[in-house]
Amino acid sequence: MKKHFTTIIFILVVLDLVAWGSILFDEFGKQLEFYFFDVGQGDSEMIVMPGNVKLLIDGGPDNGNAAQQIDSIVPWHDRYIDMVMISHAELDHFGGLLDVLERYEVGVFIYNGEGSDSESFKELAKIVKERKIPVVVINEGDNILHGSSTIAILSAHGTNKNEGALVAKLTSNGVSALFTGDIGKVTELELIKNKAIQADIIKIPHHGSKFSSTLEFLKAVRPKVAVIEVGKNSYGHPTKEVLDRVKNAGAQLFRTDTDGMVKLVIENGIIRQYKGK
Amino acid sequence: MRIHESVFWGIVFFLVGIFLAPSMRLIGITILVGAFVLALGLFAYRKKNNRMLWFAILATGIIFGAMYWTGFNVYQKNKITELIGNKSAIEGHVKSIKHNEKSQQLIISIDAQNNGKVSVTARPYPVLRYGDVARVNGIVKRPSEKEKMYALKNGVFATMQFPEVQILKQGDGNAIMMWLLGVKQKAVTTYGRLLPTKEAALLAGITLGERAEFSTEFKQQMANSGTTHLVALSGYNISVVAGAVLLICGLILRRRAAFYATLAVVVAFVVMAGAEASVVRAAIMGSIVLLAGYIGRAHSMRNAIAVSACAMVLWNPNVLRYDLGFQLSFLALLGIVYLKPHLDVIIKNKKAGILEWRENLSGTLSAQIMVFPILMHAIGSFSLVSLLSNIVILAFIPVTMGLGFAIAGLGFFASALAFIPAWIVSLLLQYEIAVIELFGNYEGLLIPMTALWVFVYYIMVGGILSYLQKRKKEVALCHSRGGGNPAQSSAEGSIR
Repeated sequence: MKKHFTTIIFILVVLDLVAWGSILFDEFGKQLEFYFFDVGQGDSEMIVMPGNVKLLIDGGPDNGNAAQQIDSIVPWHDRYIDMVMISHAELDHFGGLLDVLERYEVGVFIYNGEGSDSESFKELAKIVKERKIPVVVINEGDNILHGSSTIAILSAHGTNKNEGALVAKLTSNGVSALFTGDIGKVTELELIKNKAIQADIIKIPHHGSKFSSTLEFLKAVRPKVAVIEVGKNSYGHPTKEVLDRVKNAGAQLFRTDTDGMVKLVIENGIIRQYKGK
Repeated sequence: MRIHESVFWGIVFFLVGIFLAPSMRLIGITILVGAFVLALGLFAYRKKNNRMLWFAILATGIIFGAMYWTGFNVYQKNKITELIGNKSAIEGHVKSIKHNEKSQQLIISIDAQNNGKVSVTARPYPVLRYGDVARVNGIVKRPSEKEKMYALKNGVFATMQFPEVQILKQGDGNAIMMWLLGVKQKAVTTYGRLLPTKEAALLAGITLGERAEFSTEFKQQMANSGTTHLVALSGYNISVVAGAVLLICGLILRRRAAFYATLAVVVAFVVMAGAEASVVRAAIMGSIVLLAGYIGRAHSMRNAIAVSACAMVLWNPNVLRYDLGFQLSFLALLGIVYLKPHLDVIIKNKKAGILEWRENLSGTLSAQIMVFPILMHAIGSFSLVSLLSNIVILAFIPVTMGLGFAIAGLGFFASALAFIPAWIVSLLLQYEIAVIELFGNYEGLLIPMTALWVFVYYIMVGGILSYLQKRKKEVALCHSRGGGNPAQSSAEGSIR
């Protein structure tokens, strides 16, 4: 028994050291990081701000990919997402959240107040309610602040669901990034006229649809890095027109269907790029 | 012929009848078997062989089996036939549910007069649960060829594809069942909160047989590596649970009380896992394996296996022919009960080996030898690496299950502490996933296998087994006669 006792104590001490070691020496969440998940045809991005504050924008379609990819990036002991935001209430943007909300503790759920009558959205609303996640309806002009990071909401409503997608601009550590949901030409023109939309990184709107990412818009944003979140689809996304426009804008292009998950790490103002495939 | 022998052969003939019924007309079977029985009976009468006469009488069980199969299917079909081909709005209770990637597979028991069951493939939303009362509006069809196996093994004779679904009432099922399913759901949710997706899915599969969360790729890897049985809540898993409960109960209760307590836990566990036919079967067979361990005599098991097979076939006679799971688990069980003792002699040689690898090799090999041709016939491939993968994985499954139950238990009473066993089990699960993924890269062996070859194979295995059994008896007899008491004979020698 004494022999076993010593072995058990030894194993427990080793496990304890491993656990604390992985918590204390984890590099995750110390720098500004952007993840564009490979969720198939849909959008899902995560911003990790210094101090390990996580904002998940959209959850992709209902295929479990978003939850799996989040699992693959966060440390195994970290089961908390500070903010989950949906750009707009369409299944290819919130479907995967049904899984994420079941698996992770979520600090707050943010959206533009426009839901949907679909059964899937009702299920999402049910889970948010059951899990007692606070809901915040956010509007144009609102800001989310954390340390030296600011997330500004540039647009929150439009002529239809896609045009009304939340457009958020993050400024942090000398870098800015624009998240555009599924907006089209109408909202793009509004933004060009009324907002400061220049950004180093852009999530290309609407999976590379030809009715979005107009030349004027890309000119105004002047991105260094552009990411298209796209998967197998029947719409022809991303369209050749958009690919050409991005190229002409001089941005380095990533697309999740061919590059897999795209990770951008900001180190002293430099954007380091990593891709999954 | 003794009573237990009569019961055994009676059941065997009855099952043969049920097995033949789908391929032959009832009248044909009756004439063939009638002629055979008559001939055998007359022969036995002339020879005055009572045993053979009794055997001939028992052989009429084939006819009863065929009659039972025919009656069951006609009765079940009649319940639903008038709805087939029509657009109907059916109201009923959700009896079982399986979530797929882009649909939900439901079995709905119809509430109205012309009752019966209908299998419904529905859109993923609204999410239905056991006990929900739903109205499904769509065209009722006969199961297609593709769906036939699934429908028949569930005793279902009508299907609906993507009807409009409306939930009328929630939680109107059996109260105990709903409570147990709630417990299971809570456990699965706890795993999901504490562990990464893949690990949580594997743990839910191993401890509770929950497979909804697996990706298609991982399912394929498990099939390739021959480890699917770990997450199917097979007899193995249940024997682990029953064994552990019996051990704990044995410490505090008397033998008989411990046995009943274990039985109660196994029943609750089965209901919790959805009380599906496959799980009920696994529970019966897990208990048999456990029983075999205690009794230790294979021939005492014969009637236990026959009676349990008969009970399941009486419940739904279609499982014998159309439920691959039923066939595989029974064959695996036969392998473990009858073949393993012989393999143990060669493989174990009274040694356990590191992590009991000899025991696990012997168990896996005996099950694989029995299921091999059926797998080849039905699926067309057989995992060659399953022996290796099972040897390196099986030893860790009881600990994984134990920790899984600990996490679920803590999730209820002290969720803040559940992360402790979760961290430990995470290591085990990572190892198990790595093994499955490693061996999952090897595609199975492909050998076309016709029904005739399957038949020949089993006749051969049966022959070898009965020869080995006979030889074992003879050896035992020789020992008890010749070498009965060596000490005494030597003592006599010294006197001389």
